[in-house]
Amino acid sequence: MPWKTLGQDHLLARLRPALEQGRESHAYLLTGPPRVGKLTLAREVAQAVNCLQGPGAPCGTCVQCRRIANALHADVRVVDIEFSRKVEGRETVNTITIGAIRELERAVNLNPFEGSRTVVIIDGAGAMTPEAANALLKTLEEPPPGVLFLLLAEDDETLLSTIRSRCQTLPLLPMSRRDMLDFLTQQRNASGNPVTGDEADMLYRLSRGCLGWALNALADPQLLAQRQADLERIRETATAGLDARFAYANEVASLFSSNRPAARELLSLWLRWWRDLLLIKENAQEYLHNADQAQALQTHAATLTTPQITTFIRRLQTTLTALDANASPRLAMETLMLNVE
Amino acid sequence: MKISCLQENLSRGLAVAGRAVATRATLPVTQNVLLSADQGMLRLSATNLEIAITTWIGAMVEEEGAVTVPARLLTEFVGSLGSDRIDLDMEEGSRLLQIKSGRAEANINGTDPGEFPPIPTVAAQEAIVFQADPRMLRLAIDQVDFAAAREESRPVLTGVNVRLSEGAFTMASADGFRLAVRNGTLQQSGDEITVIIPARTMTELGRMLGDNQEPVQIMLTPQKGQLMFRVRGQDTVELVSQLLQGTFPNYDQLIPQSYTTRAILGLKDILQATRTASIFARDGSNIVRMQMQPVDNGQGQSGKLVVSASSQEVGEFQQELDILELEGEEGKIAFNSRYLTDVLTEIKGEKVAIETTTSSNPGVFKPVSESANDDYVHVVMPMFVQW
Repeated sequence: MPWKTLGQDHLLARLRPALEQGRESHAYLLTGPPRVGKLTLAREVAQAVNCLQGPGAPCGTCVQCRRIANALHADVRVVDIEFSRKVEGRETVNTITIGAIRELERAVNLNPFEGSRTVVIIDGAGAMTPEAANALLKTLEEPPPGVLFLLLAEDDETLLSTIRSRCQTLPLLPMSRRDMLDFLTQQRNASGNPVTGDEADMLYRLSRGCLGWALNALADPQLLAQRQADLERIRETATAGLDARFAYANEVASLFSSNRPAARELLSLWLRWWRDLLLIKENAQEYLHNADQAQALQTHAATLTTPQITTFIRRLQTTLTALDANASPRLAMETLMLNVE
Repeated sequence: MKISCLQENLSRGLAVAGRAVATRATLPVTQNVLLSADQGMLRLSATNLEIAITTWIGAMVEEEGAVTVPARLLTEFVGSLGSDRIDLDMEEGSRLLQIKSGRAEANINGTDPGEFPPIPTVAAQEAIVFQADPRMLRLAIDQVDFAAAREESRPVLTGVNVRLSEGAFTMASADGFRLAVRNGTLQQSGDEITVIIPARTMTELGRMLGDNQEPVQIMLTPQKGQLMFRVRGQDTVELVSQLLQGTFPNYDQLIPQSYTTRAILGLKDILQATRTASIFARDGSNIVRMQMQPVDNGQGQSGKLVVSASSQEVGEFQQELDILELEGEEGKIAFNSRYLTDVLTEIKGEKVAIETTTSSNPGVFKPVSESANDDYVHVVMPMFVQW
């Protein structure tokens, strides 16, 4: 059976022989942008080490593979913010806490319940608090026999160097345009029609090669509608008065405290919009992300000069860095909005 | 699925299986209980992936079937019903469980039983490996489970080491400061096995044994090598425990083989004195001191024990007790008050023996009784104090 994770042949070439010969590392760090396929690959590795047909690529049909694919397997433990919230009993938790790691350690010291190996997937390893990460070090360095750790993170820079050094890093890359178009044009969209070349091209641009995003957008037209609305807001806000911009800053700041990834996503939408503005200014339309918005971009770009655009892009980047370093979301956003012109 | 049973039976079964329902679940389905018709009985199973409990209650099965439903909802609903007949009904292909009792009717959304983690079991015809007296088992569990480590820095110490061999079992637990070892006898035995069972499971098993008299069957599950306890009382209950990976430390060498002072005390007196001393020890690092002194009353060896505790802010306390029998020389030693009360609470009988060598060597607590049912050793590390 071939592997189902697409576009990561460079990693599979490394993983496949290791898994076939049972020489895999005890801990891997899977890095890559959101929705590039980290969790998909992690689940597939979990299948590979538990597959009844193993070793090698997972068969996808045995009871172990099926239970893992449906997220029902007792020995594939996904630790994420959601898990952390359950352990802490508070919905406001936005990190992977030390409590969650301790709960996990209890579990990994037990024999597997139904499979042959326990696989721990830490989804969003960057969300671990420093205490949690430090608590994990000992187990990560020398896991109990048969336990495999898979840490997923957008960027290995967000992790403690002590965590990084205990894992083999597997960087997932965005899919190439051709691979993605080939794949997407064989799929059907939400209304059941085959995906056209234009649709596939738009999805490729918007997803920046992250197949998970493209597939989500394909299955859920709502996602694209939401993006449309978000872009609309961005355009309006960028040209609106100070009151409206401050109101927007407030909105984003509160989104940031309740759902950090969504707020980051929104800001990267800003970034891409302004990148497109710059491309239009420089007559490089063929590289637009938001190719479907070319008209609106043209109109917006006409009101700005190139230095204005580059300055704002730099401000956006500064804001993102500041937010990642735990600046006050409200202050950071207000400063940004103050300087839109 | 079409099954009828009595409210009190179902309620009792749910209470038993409910002990294994996950509270904060990684797998949402583990918050459910699995109901299935099984050989003319209703089987209830639950697991939190650390222990799995299955129990059977008497029922009339008209149509076989299985479903999982949220355990808490079902338990509370059944508990709220009067004692009456309950009809469980689920149409073929549907996942909606209809529950009728008297004029009450509930429909609960269930999930596919195939989503439930496989509950390990041992087929009835497979040879029973070990059998133990539930009362002895329960006593042994009570005497060891509290000494297991609470924190995870050494995972194996959070478990109880259980060795089953020819005619005898040994349970041991330790947390780095104390060690409890309990020997007992088995009524029937097979090939020797040694496993480490999480202390939480042992506590759960002890509770489940209750006042049962029927021998408990202990066996390994064939696929995964989990340990299963089959408790037969009013209902049959199967408790399967996941095992802790690793090797338990070799504890035999930690049990002192000799002593310089051995004092036999009335258990009630020493427990009472320790408890009082604990009140004073609370503010001063929980230190309780014990001094054993020989007293020459002209009738052979006897002595007195002085139990004391003090803290600078609060004040101090001391109490003298008669030592029933004293062997050896004068001795003094200090212990953590919690460790003292823990062990003295669980030792059974009238008397307890305390054996010490120096104030920096571990102290040993043993029950004093003629009965072989009291094969228990408890070792506690002393606290270092200025005398």
